[in-house]
Amino acid sequence: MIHYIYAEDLHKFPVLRDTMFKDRAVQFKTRLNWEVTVNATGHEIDLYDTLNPLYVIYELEDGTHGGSVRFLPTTGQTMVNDHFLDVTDGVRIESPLIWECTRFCVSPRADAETARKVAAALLISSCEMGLQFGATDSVGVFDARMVRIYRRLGWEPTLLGSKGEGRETTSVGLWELSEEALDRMCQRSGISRQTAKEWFNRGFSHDAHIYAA
Amino acid sequence: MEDSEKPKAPRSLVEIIRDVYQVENVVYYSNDLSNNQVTGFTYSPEWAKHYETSKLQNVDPVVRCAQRQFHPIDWKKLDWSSKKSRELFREASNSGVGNQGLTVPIRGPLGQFAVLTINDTTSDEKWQSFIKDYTQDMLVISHYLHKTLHEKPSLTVEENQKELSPRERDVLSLLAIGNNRAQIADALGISEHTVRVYLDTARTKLGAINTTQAVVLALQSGSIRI
Repeated sequence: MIHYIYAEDLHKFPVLRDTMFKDRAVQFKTRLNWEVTVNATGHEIDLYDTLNPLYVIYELEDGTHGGSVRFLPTTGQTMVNDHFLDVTDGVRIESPLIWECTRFCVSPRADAETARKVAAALLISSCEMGLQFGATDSVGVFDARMVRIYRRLGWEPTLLGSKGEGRETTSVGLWELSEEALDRMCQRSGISRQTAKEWFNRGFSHDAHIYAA
Repeated sequence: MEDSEKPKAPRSLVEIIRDVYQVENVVYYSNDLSNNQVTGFTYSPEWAKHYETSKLQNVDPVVRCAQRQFHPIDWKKLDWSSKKSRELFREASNSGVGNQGLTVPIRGPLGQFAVLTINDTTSDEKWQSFIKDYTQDMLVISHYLHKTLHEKPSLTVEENQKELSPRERDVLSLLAIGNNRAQIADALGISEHTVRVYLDTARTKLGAINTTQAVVLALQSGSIRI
């Protein structure tokens, strides 16, 4: 299932939190060799994790992290505007209608079938959330090889630009938030729109939280 | 609202929003890095005074959520279970505050904080439908207000040019001379989606309420020429 959790509330989900930051270390440091920092406890944490971002996290049946993404408003400090202006033609992506989405991660502990399901659930729940909150687009940093995965899931970003070469290519892209994209992803993944709505309602409604618990 | 010569009174701006959207109350509150507060509200002065002197912001779940988080907040979805917050809700209702609210937090690049709140008395169903239709308007308006009330207008061409990137200026210039988005995309060799987003980022930076106003402001300040 999907959780929507602000950084300030991560302490209420210690297992999810720790496995998320560890999985991110494996994905971004070990596998992709990005210039990220892994701390003494093996957690990959950067500056943007300290700005009270909103995480969308998939919880596996054993209670650990299956995958996650991290959102920040582009009117505040973002990774794209701090580090990727050379890739975006110098345009600071700044708008109340655009959220930044970074650190798209699927747990390296997930098998191929689970990984596909997790990736689909993350994109669907991100799109559902963006639409519910009146956003039009999401801007993100991703490994260029992810493009074909996004395409297969049914939600391809518009590429703004890339830097680096080969395995170390990092790109910035825009995802348009639309009902069409959401329905297409639901259809392809077999996750119903109703499920996406339930995840959203449980994540952002206090009463629903009590009800679920 | 386009006339920059007029004094910018927060009170008159929130009244305009209240009247256009036909809701009971609108509130704008901001606190910048030097702790300068700007407020504009349509609540009764008595309620505002009581709220301030009793420090009700300390028990108000809306304030707590808006200060830390950044999604648009539907009041009904917050935790009103504590005795103090239930008491606040009851007192507010007796003072003319409606039972429904939407609060849009604004996070600035250096951690500045502001909120725009829309408040009304209506059923849950009608309120859900209002939120669905107008959350996006409120996001745009909240930033427009914030820019209008807070930032000194950039006076020189250099300052404005620094604010907009060459790409954003290209897109605005091509729009100003009558091109549509497809033609602009074609001319610049970028996608229409990217053109739409550059127009949005330029609008945000100029503090314009829509694309047309963004073009006008950019022309007036000399950041673009036709």
